[in-house]
Amino acid sequence: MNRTVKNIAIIVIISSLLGFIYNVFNPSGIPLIREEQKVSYLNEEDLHNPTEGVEAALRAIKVDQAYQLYQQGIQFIDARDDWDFADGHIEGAINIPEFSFEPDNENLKQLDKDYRYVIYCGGDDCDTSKRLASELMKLGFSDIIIFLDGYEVWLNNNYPVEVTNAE
Amino acid sequence: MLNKLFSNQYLVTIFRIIFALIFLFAGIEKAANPDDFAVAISNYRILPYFSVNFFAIILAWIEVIAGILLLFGVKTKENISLLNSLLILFTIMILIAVVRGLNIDCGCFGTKYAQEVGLLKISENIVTILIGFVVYKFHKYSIPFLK
Repeated sequence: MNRTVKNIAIIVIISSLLGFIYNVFNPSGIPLIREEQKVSYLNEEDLHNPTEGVEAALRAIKVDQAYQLYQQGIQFIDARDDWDFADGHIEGAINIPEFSFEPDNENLKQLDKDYRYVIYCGGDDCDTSKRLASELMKLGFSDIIIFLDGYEVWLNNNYPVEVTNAE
Repeated sequence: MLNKLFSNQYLVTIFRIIFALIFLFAGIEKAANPDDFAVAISNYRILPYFSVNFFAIILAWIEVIAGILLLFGVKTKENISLLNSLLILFTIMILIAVVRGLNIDCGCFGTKYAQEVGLLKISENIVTILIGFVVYKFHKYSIPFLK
């Protein structure tokens, strides 16, 4: 084999090994195999009962249940970035972009950790809302629900949306 | 004629240093925040989800190690080939993301220095690739700091 290619292979292998070793000892190391965060859909009963502190999976709902909660006045949180939010979001939702999430986020400070919140993002296959949910739960929010189908489906169902007026 | 311009020791060495520093900086940011980097990779929706952590570690550390070696001029040809090939690959991925309409952070320098995927980012990368190509082609002229 060409000597240059062989040397490149050696560099790649040694770098990778160093990386894996570092990862073992790194307190913020990551698992080699990344697992999807498990999501479990709530049925009608679960929806009306306050959470029992079920940690195992993230709690999700479908669009009709989301609309129910919307009508009950539950606060929705939009996890997308501020551009998408301004272009159109679920009426009454507040924006906490997961992308630039900090525990001392302004909007966050005003929220009561014991209240129920519904988090959503753009559409299906969207991890952003799952990640924001995990982050909030880590901070002690006890009743977080994810509207996994997201803004797209809400819009398709002609449920109420609003845009942010440019100042 | 361009050959004359680029076969200057100092020019090639400076290009090598610039290229190496870019990758060293990028690599350290990613190696220090592997989870964020893994998330950035998953946003491209190309690699299978379960594998992104694995690649996050490998890519970050290749950038760091190859970056250091390149900075000192150790095995310049190997390291510039490796890093420039990676850069070309990344740029293709960014192009694919743009074509698919993904509105994501490129993950190039970690989440602290976020840059959106787009034509600007692709252009920046092309400039860097060209610098890398000069270093590759004229690597014999670069001045190593270590053997």
